Amino acid sequence: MPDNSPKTLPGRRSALASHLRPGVFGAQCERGPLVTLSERTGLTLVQVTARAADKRKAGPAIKKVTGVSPPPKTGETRIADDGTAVHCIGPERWLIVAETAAPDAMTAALREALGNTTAAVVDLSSGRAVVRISGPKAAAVMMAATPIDLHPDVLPAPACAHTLIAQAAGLIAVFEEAEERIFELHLQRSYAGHLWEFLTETAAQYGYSVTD
Amino acid sequence: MIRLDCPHCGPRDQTEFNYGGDGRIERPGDDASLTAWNDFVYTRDNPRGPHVELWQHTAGCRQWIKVARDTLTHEIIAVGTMGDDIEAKIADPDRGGVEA
Amino acid sequence: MSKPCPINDHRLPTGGLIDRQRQKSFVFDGRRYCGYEGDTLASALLANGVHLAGRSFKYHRPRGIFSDGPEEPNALVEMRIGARREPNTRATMVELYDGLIANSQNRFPALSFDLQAVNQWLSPGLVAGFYYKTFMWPKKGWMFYEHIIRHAAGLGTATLEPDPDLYEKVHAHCDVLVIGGGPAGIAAALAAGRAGARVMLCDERPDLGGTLRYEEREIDGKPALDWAGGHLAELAGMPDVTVLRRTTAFGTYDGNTVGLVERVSDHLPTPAPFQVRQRMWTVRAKKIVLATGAIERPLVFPNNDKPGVMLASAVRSYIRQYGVKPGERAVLFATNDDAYRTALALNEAGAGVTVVDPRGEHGTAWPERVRDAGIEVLTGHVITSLKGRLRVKEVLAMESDGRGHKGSPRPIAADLVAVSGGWAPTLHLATHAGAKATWDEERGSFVPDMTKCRADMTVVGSANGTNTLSGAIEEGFATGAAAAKAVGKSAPDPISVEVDDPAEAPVRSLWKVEPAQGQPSKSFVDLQNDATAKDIEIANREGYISVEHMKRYTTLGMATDQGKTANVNGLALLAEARGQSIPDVGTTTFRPPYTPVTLGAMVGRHTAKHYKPIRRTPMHDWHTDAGAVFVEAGLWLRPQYYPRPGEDVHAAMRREVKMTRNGVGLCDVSTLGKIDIQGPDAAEFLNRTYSNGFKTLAVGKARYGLMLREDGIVYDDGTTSRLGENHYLMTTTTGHAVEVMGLLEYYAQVLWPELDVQLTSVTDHWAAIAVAGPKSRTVLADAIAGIDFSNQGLPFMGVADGTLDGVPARVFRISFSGDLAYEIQVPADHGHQAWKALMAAGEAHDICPYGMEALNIMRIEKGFVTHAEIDGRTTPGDLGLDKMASRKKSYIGRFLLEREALKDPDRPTLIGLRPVDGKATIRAGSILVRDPVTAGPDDMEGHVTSQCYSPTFGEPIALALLKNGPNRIGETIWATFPLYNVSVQCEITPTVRFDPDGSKVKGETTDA
Repeated sequence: MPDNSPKTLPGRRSALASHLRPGVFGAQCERGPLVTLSERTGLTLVQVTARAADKRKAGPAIKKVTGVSPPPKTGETRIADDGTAVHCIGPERWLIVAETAAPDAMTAALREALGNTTAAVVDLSSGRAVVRISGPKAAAVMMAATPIDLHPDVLPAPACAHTLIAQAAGLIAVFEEAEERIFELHLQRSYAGHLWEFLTETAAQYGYSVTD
Repeated sequence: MIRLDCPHCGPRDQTEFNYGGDGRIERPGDDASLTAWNDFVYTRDNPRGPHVELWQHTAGCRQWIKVARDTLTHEIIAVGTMGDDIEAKIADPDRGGVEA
Repeated sequence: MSKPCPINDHRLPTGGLIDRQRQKSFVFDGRRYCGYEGDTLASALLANGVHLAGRSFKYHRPRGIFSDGPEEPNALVEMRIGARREPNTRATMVELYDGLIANSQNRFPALSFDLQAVNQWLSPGLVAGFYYKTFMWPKKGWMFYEHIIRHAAGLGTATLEPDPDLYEKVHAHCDVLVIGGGPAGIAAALAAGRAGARVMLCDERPDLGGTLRYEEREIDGKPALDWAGGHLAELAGMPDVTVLRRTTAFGTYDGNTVGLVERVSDHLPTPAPFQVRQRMWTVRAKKIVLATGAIERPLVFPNNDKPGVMLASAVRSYIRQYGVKPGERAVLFATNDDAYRTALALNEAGAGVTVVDPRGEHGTAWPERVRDAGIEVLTGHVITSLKGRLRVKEVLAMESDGRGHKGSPRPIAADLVAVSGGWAPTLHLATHAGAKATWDEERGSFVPDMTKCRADMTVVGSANGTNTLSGAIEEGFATGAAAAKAVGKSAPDPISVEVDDPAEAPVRSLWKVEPAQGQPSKSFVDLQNDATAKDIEIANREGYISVEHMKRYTTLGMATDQGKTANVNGLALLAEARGQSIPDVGTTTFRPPYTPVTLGAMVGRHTAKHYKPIRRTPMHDWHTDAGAVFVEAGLWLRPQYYPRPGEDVHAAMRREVKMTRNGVGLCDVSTLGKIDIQGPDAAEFLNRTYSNGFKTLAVGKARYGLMLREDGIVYDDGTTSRLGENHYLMTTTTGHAVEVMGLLEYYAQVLWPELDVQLTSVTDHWAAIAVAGPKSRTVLADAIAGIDFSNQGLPFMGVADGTLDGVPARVFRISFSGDLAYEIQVPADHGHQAWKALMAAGEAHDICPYGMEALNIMRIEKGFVTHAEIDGRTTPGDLGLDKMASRKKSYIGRFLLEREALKDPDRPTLIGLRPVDGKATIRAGSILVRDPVTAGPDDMEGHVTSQCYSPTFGEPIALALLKNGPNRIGETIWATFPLYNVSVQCEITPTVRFDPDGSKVKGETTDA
């Protein structure tokens, strides 16, 4: 059956299509569900890996295309005015996350801006499942999901960390929106179902809502 | 469990890394003897005490790093990138750590 | 409740921290009793006059509740029934809940009448090491003895039903982890919390306070429990402080890591919906403060194991914490002043008390205070034995120094004997990390020696031998403050407390009371494992003089309580037997866990289908809807076959092969590893990595590549395509995708950092679909726009870009089936769409989805190798791929491939097999021999690596490695499988049976 959900472009099918159902689930709490889960779709995800010798040249190219200079240190995140995030996920390696689905345009623009600079520009838009978790007990769920320290003193938003999430390797991006701390998880697409099951089973004890 | 202070990502559990063997051996050149190649692949020292080894941060930044670890106490003496001089850090008399 | 609750006869009218408004009803050994909220199962049983709690492990002696804590050796009960039944649970640690059901263990038919008590009469033969000396002859008798021993051995029965509960594991980080919520621990957490550090404080009980909950002490003129409560409330209000109740720290591990188990729902009949039963915490702390207190040591004297014998501190805990009167007439046998508090508590509760103390008259206030209360104190006396069967009823005391008894025994009627030989600091978590325990003669106990401790840990309070309340609080606070300061916080304001700590006389170390003439002599050291003082003497006499040997020979300290009330006495007795000092004898090593940890907590949610992550392809849902049966390939789920109504696996896979070979089939191959390789040195990188040449690969072409290990053995294979000037896409096998990526990064970062090449894993970004069969070209020409599918337009091993249903699609003309075939890659989000588009385009040609079984059959027919042949022992030459091992360049594995043994022409080499009778299955793994009847190990000539039934050839076929195989085509050989006693005579065939000249794959034959 074609996926007619408005969140996906014609023909696109999320890896969570058969797993995700909107609603409120789990334990009933007086305060209501203490965890909110949602999937982010329609993103452009492009990874840029520059050669160390050329790093000063990759920066301006990324800035030209995204509007923000790529952060130099692994674990740093910078956000452009239009919400595009640039995460440094390793030495000379950045993941660019843009909020509209236009991977071809972005890869082309980056390649042009880079010119002769040696840097690999790879579209990963289809290769990741992206899930957001927020709410008073989001941190408690994350404590079950990952072994790293997520305390705001250690990971002040915005920031990122590539680590183990539910036993698979993925990226945790931390944002602060309306004074709320939000975790955005990027996992390889093939793990999407597994991640969703893990998060929902863990969050059930706190009550969780799934939003579109 | 062992914690490794990845030079790029910071302190992480060993479960995020993959062990990559002795970090002191050098790969022979193309003209080396078969014996030299055989030693490279099969022969290893088994030191009791500080050991330089390679680990890959597979769940993190995907970088290969050098680690000086005490094989007896699991104390992590020093961690660095492939370009860092780890030997110097082992030899440093001011480094802390526990006597075996 | 319908029936009124039976009255707790032995409950004091007032007092205790229990909630007398909330009654709980429970069943023990089939009888119904009542208790209150705040009771443990043990305290509730005592309140109901139940002292007999179990039968001992070896001798089946009647045993009673001994302690009020995790050190309980006797009262091990089977908790609950059905799927949640849990044996060997200490009744002292069970929180009473309404409807609780528990049963005693190790007795038949009943606790009060246990047939196996006969063991007591056999006891001279059951001493230490008896099982090394008995049941030895005759040898064949062992199978008979073993059956009986198994039946008699063990304590309790585990359930065989699946665990219905959920468990969870979480990770935590903090600056200061304080283990133990008594006065020292609370003070430490308070100091660190006030300094602004991230603090975790854990305690194994439901309420914190430790000894303050039963010692009626005053701090600053107020009840000590109020002091504790106030500070706990303050801690609860600190956002960076986490207080965990019902949580045991069970082990210290490398890197200042501590494992905790939180008993989230053990105190409830069932967990709340969605709630876990237990939660394991892996805590990484910068600083650890160990405030675990101490465990009281019993005294070793004849018949010291009877029900009614209890640790002195436990007696006053039952009185003050639970409002229970544990006996009417008590004797306190103690070698230290602290235990005298129990005499006063018993007196207040209205019980008669006599104190027996081997020490002479000494000048401290304690004996005087006790005598002032009207209690008789017999100094210079010991208990020489007890009388009573199911409960103690009389004590025999004699004037003595422990060894030489004077005069005649004085009988004292008693139904309770409180014992105390001093205290043993609880140091397990320190010793886990390498700390030692040193003997402090003055204190008469071990104290921690942290010099060799690998963890950043400080011990405080009575665990550190600081036995005064004021000392414990001050030490705890100072340590918490120092810990906070060490992590960069500013020290909190110091506190001071006013506490009355009366002076105490030194402890007398009395390790055992010698049996008196005419009296019983059996003295127990380890109550749980039934190890006696005599066992230790025997061990020493027989040469097991090392403390580690003594432990294992006598089993002292090896029960589920790890000898918490036995270890110190045990090694002190060994020292006496050896005529040495305690420090000379040393201690055994403690290892985690401190108390038993359930496997559920260790597993958490990673059970059943969550044991490992599951990876699904982009078309997974389509396969599910089509009724595919899945198979696990590593972490992936792959369609194994797509059964049509009435088909079993064999019928399905044969049909899928036939339909593909005769028409067109499609297969989901998304699981193969895909690695994007870019950079000016990409070609050089590939050339050094693969055994065959890659420098001449043209843009728009694909090439099969072989990857070796450094020792010349084949590691992996795949197809690499050149997409652009400096842009390549490598594929790997599904099984090795992750490892190959790590290996390539090793080459790029460690071996050849000078090469300008970047690697990115794109396995999940691309959905990949194989389309195979004579009609594949027709179908694809229809479905995909922008590509000329003629032989010239897209030749064999060519790569081209087009669009499929509006989606960019890359087409590789490669074949794993041996037929004319292609592989289509589209972005994974469009995989489902692409699959459906191809199914639609192929409908007119009867396109058939095929799974792993069919895939495997076709590749065996074509003689292609997989990890069944690339098994970690085979070289390129063994696989018939010697031409792929270049002699002109340097690459990984090149040099060790030159080793003589790897060039030996006698090495088993790849060939095909068919059964001579055209019918028999040639089992994979069969050994190839000339004569299966006479063949021995020296006659093995090879083995069968893969096999299948070939629908194309109408018979079973196989691939095998055979000595000198390629030169023996047409000969016969036997494939024998000794385990199943099956041998099949085979004809040796070429490896490639299907389309040997490759004309189908190269498109030289035209099919409609």
